[in-house]
Amino acid sequence: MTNGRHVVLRLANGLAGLILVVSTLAHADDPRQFLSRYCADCHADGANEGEFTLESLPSDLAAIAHLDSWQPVLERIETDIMPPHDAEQPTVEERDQVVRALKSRIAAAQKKRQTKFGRVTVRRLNAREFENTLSDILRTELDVADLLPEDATSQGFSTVGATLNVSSVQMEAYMTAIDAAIDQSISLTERPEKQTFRLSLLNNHGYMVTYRDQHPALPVVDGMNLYATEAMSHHHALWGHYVVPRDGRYRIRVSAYTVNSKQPIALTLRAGGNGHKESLRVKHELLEHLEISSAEPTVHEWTGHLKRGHYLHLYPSELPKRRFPKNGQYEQVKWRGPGVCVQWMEVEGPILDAWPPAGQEVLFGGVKRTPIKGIQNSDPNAQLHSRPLIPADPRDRQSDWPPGVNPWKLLAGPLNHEAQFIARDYSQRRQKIIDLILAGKHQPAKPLPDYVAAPHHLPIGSPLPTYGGEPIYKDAPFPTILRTQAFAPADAKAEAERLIKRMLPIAFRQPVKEAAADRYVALVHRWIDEGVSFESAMRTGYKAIFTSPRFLFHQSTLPTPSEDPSTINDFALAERLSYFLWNSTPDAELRKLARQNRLSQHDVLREQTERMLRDPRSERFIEDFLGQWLDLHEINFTSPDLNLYPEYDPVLHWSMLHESQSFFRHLIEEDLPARNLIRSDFVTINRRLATHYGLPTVEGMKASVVELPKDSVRGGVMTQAAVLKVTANGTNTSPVIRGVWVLERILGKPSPPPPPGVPAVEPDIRGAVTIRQQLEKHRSDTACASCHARIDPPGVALESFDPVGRFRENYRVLNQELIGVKRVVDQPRYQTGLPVDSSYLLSDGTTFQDIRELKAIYAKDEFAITRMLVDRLLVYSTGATTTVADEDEILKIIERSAEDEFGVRSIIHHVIQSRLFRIP
Amino acid sequence: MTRIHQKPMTTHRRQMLRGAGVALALPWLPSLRRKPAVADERRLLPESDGKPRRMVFICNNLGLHMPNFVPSDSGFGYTASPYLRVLDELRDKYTVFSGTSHPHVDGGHAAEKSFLTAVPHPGSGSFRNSISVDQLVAEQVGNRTRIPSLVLSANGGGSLSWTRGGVPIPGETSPSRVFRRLFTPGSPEEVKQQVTRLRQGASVMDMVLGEAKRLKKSLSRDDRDKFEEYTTSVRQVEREMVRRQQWEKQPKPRVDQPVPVDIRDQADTIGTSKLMYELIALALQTDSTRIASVLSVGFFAVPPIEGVTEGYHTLSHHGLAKDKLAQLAVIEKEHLGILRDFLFKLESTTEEEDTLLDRTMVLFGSDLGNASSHNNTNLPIVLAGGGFKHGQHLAFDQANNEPLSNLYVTMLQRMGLPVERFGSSTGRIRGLEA
Repeated sequence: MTNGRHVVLRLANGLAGLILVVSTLAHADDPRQFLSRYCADCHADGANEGEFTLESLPSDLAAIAHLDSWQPVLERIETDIMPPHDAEQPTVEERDQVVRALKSRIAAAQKKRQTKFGRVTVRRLNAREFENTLSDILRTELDVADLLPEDATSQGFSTVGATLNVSSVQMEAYMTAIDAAIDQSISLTERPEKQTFRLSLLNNHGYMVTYRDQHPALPVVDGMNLYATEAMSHHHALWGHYVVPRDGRYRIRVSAYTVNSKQPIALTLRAGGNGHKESLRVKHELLEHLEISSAEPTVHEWTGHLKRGHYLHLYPSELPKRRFPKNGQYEQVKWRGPGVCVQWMEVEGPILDAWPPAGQEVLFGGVKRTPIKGIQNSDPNAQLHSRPLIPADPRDRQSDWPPGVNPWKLLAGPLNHEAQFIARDYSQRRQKIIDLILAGKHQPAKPLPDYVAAPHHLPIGSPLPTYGGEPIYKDAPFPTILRTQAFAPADAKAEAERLIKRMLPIAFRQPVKEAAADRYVALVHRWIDEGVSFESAMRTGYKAIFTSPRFLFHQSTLPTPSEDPSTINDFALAERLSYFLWNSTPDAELRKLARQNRLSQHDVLREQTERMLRDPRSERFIEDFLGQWLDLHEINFTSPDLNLYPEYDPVLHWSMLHESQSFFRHLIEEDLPARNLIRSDFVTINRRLATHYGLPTVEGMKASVVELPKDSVRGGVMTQAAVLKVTANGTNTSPVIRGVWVLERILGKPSPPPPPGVPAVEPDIRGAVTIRQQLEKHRSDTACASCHARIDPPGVALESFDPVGRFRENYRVLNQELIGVKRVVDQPRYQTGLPVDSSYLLSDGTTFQDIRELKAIYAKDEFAITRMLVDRLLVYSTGATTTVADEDEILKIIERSAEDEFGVRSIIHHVIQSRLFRIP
Repeated sequence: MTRIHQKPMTTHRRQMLRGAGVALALPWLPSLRRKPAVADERRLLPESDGKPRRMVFICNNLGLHMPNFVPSDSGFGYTASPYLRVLDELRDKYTVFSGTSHPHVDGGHAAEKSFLTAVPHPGSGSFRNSISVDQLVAEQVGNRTRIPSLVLSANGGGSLSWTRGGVPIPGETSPSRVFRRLFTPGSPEEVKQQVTRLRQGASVMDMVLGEAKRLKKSLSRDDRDKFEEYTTSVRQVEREMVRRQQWEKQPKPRVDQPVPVDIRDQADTIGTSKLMYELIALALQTDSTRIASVLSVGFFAVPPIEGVTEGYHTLSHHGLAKDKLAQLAVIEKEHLGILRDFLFKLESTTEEEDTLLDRTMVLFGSDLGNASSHNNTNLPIVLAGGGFKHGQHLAFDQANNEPLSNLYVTMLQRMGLPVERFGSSTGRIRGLEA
């Protein structure tokens, strides 16, 4: 420290603005002394350590940007990061004093702004909210969010108005998305028939003969044994004959049983693209992991929404990937490993609740339709109605087999010499028929476009005839639906007016003035006059409604003239509530209560909150809130290295998310204290996670509440597999990344970004040095120490967990000798590496042995935990990050929650009932 | 300045013509407004010679293994590195850079967001992006061509291009769709329908703009700034729809090449990138656009390339394992191979006294300097074409990198834009002369 007087003088010259800010403060609270004594050496008068100078701080706190630049100064002083520990240290009192002084000053300025302009910057719907809102309005399960550009986030949240931008790209995308939403909602055809198909791997949906050698499956008398997961197994090519003909609800029934396994095995049912070259460009949609737990055939049922053009896939995804050697021995016959026998899969649908579909009623209800003559839709699954040309079921094809031979013996029994001969003979006969088809001398039952038209164009791996002889329709065109009807309104203009005026208050989530409504009607009328079709004119109107600021922006953040400017009205409250708990627009009940001005009444609001949390739409809240708060939306971002972590598979992946979501759901339902987020004596896990965590057996794929043994490392969100996965990169873990994450997301005390030019700590993949050892320098280097003393401890404690959330005592390193070696299936490709040391010390010197002790330390401060949760809920629900100005209101929420023992549902109630929830 | 559109492009290498697949007999598409690229009153900057220029930006988001890429010596007589040997036939047509990066752009893979914007800390929670260099140019010259710029993504979502407000522009992923939009002529009926659709769109935007204006009056200042983004966007879309109506009525350029077949296999990054490059070449040759960006996304799956048995992304985290490095080199050489083919294609077309490559700046690089450790410094960068004095290895300080934005400034000026600064630039890039 140089001469103190000199510094004050420098400040007087250089910090005129700063002094202005603080000059009105009482002498004892004057931050000037503090800033000049402890900060100016490095941050004033030409010195700009970390590229920050006190002179750059604005004196006028009126604009939000200016407040933003003061906030980090306050935070760094408050959290003890500044001044650095090798510089002169203020006393605790001095620090408290300056923090108080800065806070009150900043808070006063912010409050002034809030009363004048509101707390929340005008906020548009994010992509999810847009999709859910349209889905709920059009009563159709829409798929349009992907058509919109990715939303920017603030503190991980994509609900913050200030960061949700609009651009011309965005506007054009809205128009495309609205067209897509209308397309998905209406259907101008005759009511489609419900069809039921029973698909069997042994019948007309046989598997490709090409794969027969290596394919981890074995045809048995009543079905097909599947011995491996999807990867490399070509199970996904198996059901390729059936394409979902229409968007809608379907019922799928699967009859299956376990083979060679006392343990249950998950049989994954998913939808996606077609064929063995299925691209990831077609969204893979998990329908359900069916739990096959019996060696007796059992029928499992799934009902839900399927999309037109999707194909169904079924595979035991918990089994390791496996291929059998291509040696002509057909070793599958001798295989005694675990598997699932699939007898058949039955698809029934579309199951229609109404026709025309609900969305069409909303958009065009009551408009007369006329048939378009001469157009008929073909059935994309027509080939399933006729017997295949060459039946796969050997019982149907006696003529293919030499007399006296039992084909089942060949397929199910051990291969003897005779059987091998027969198999060869059979495949030659089959080939002959194929050749005849290709030569045009033999007509197949149905034209097979991509096969017959240009066989020489077929790339390697293209559809070859199946086992049964019928090709799999790999590149089957997307089933198009031709319109067989057109709208024919009796009085186009009157219909347009009726429909538009009906839509407006629903879309805008508030009553719409007659004059405003007339403008939208006029737009549609103009296009009717121009002579475009009724539908086209209506689409123009709907696009104007759904791109209008009244739809796209949260009205609570738009001005509502002539009302109390400091409190949002009941319509805006209904909207804020429904986007909070449903991620979507208010329903009729909320709208009604808003119209009656009753929603803001304490008891009514409480009752509605309860109703909304019970409603299945609240799943969206749990999913999206955790997705943003805990980064669970990023769960697909990394793929764990299967050489290191062979435990990882789609079932584990799903179970992880399911755990975190059901945990939070459980805290809400039981109103359990918020400290459970840090440390709980129970977990919500399913059968798979119980195994993964090494806990006693749990039945089924659905999570159960399981009490933890006393010494368990689990309990709380930090040690949930999903969290451990999103905070790792798939190959290794970094205490710094996890530490920063815990500070920001769990403790609510984020750490500033590293100074410029500091390289990331790189894990040594050969395993010679642990990351822990590399971190030691953080403690010795004072420049690093001030932040890393806070960052590293939680990160180090979490080193006991690998990237897939498994507890570890040693790191794993790749066994280089086995990498790249093909078909080493049953041997781990990793070796045990150095031991994990998860003990460390906190910045205040407290030591801990492992994550359990660290959790115990954190869990003591219920106040801090609740504060963090309240803060996250407020950012998510109101769409603005919290500031110093919000502190007293946040304190009130916490105090009220304390009366309810910090129960999570109570906290949600107190947030909703709080003053902050009502500020525009 | 108007002469640029008068003459058809000719070719000086017949065999290349077939590859390019352009019906060269057709004259240039007449420009709607015969104005120079930038407003008349602009100052001609040192880098600009007033010729019409194009820009192509390519980013391979999994990087290149630098020991195989960076030449061991610098200057004009540098020894080609293993990777650059692939491009060696074109040695005097490109410059290779080492020791450049964007200051404070970190965050591993997140850095691809800042590759063309240079905005710091793309991985941080409070990151807000800004306009990308290609869009900055498109704002200036984009209205001269059928489409202002081509924003492409070879594999998967995302792109390199960002709007002024920091909104990502979704990359077009289907070569066939772009091809149809640019080159497949519509029937008179289709054209009429399309024009009506655009007029309807414009009328929607007009309507909405009116609503927005009514609301705006009563907004606070911060809200108004935010809301201004919305009204500006609406206005832009309206104008764009009017502009497109004009282009809709202009016949599309004819190319004697079939519609490309989209590659469905997402693992085939190289194949899709190649299709994208071919598309860009066609678009430039027909002056359908002058700006293009391609984000080439390496995928987890095993690419269909002889000698590669592991996923591309996995290989990029090679940890110096020999087997992985060998496979990685196979893929990365393929990347440079398709770049070479692309450059040749541009070199084989001429415009006036120059080749199209001379008038097209092709920047190829990555946001990762070391993909294995997710490091974002010392990026691999190649700049080809644009009429610079090429043929050297410009080696900047490995420890104290030259801002990549300096190269962007040089390119912007070469483009004719009166721009002195971009991103984190400190000036023009040293050592690269026109």
